[in-house]
Amino acid sequence: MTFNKTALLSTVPSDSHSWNLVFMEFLLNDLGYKVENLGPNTPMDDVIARLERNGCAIVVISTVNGHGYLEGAELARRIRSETNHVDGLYIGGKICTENDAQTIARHSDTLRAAGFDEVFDDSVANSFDAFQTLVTAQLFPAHHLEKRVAR
Amino acid sequence: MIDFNTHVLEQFALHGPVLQPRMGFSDPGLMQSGLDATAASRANTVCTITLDAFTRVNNLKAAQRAIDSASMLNGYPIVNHPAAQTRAMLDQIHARYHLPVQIRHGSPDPLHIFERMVEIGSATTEGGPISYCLPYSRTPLREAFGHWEKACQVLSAGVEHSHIESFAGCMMGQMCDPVILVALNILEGLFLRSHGINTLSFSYAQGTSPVQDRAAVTALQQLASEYFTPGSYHFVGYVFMGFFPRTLGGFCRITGDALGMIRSTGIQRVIIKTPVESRRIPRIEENIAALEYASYCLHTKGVLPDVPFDAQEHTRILDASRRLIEGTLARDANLSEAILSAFDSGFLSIPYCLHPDNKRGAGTVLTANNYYQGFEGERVENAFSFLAALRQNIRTYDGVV
Repeated sequence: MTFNKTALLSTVPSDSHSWNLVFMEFLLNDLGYKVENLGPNTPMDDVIARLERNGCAIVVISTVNGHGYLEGAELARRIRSETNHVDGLYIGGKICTENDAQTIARHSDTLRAAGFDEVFDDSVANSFDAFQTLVTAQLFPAHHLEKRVAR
Repeated sequence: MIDFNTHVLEQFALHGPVLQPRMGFSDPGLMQSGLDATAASRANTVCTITLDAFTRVNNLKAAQRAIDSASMLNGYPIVNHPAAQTRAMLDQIHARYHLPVQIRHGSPDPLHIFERMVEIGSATTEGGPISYCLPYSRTPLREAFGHWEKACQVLSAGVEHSHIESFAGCMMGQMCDPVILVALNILEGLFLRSHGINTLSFSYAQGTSPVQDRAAVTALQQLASEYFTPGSYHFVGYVFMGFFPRTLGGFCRITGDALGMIRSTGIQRVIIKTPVESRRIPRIEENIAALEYASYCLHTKGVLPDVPFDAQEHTRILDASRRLIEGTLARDANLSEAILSAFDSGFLSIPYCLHPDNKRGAGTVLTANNYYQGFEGERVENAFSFLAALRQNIRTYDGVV
């Protein structure tokens, strides 16, 4: 089976963390995506410009500096309004500076309302497995379906 | 104004390693309380103001929006808050406790921050054109050198006792052969000194083996003594900056290993971590508890491990770092150009660093002794073996089976 699916990997402009992006690149690669890793402190304009140039199967925003709830929402609104990207748009990591479930739920709602299909904050719950299941499902829809049927 | 380097050297001679938090809050009242609590703690401390990420990337409008809407930032927006207010904070810490405050930021273009520091009479900060550009920004390396030249000149001309800590011992926080960390410290130190900064500190972040760390710090101390005037610098050790243990026991054990290595090498200043570090920004009392715990470890018999000296690893790091330093300096008579050329050709490179000006050829493996060692060539890891290496210290110190 050959895949020609590109994952655009990025973060929010104020976030300078890299390991999350390095790991996510390895992970998406291993899963079969061709990954374009835009690196830390990604300017929103770069993400928009990249999406206007070519389509991507999914856009993954990985952020851990606690500003995701502020800048992530703006980024999602811009992606949904300024580009033709209608496919998967996900954000994960640590989306705010607090780690109580209520605050995270509130900010997750805001991010979804802004245009993210799903929010994977893993400060409290392990949402990482859910993310993996989801990206795998997008790559191997039939396989995923079989697994679900088998369950 | 306090001479930070002299202060640290004197306090170290009197009381052992000086302890420091990585504290920063957006609210001035909270920041003031944090400084007070650090200064008044039972540990031998210096204070910290860590700036927020918007200030770091010079997005002052975003910082202002956050202040206006009372949104919590991940640090103190020093340029947005009134200068007089911050100055009063520092003056109070000086008057009450006679302690210095280091401004920690992480900016590849720190001119706006250094200008504000001059305005409020603050002389002590950290970073450098390599250590605050490559791992933490997308600013072209050449531009970062230009920015830092200018900013260093502003700081050194504007205050007495300018002091900058090179952050090069913490590149990427983990998964880096100490050879690179040691060499970059010296190169960045030479840059800072050549642009007028009076005194320096050299950093080193705990890795996955205190034995390797001791070998590396000893090599760093030796090389620093060859390139810099005695008494004009000190060393700062960081408790592990990578994926951090999640349990209280893990925190205690990893901190103990770091402090054991720090005691055995004579490092004068320590940046401590807190048990909540892996989950969120620590509160004031969590910072103070961690400082006092570290102080207890350092001053109580039998708590800290003795870290053996691995002469072979020390020689490997010393020789290879020296080759990198000398090989870089030989490339151009101009220091900035020499360093830029070394990165451009891949002679210097930082494993896993995504910056466009860093050649991503080199990787890092964990040896059987848990030492970090660089390798060149084909990637051997998959996402999960790589993740396992990133999480090595969680395995070691949380004792997860």
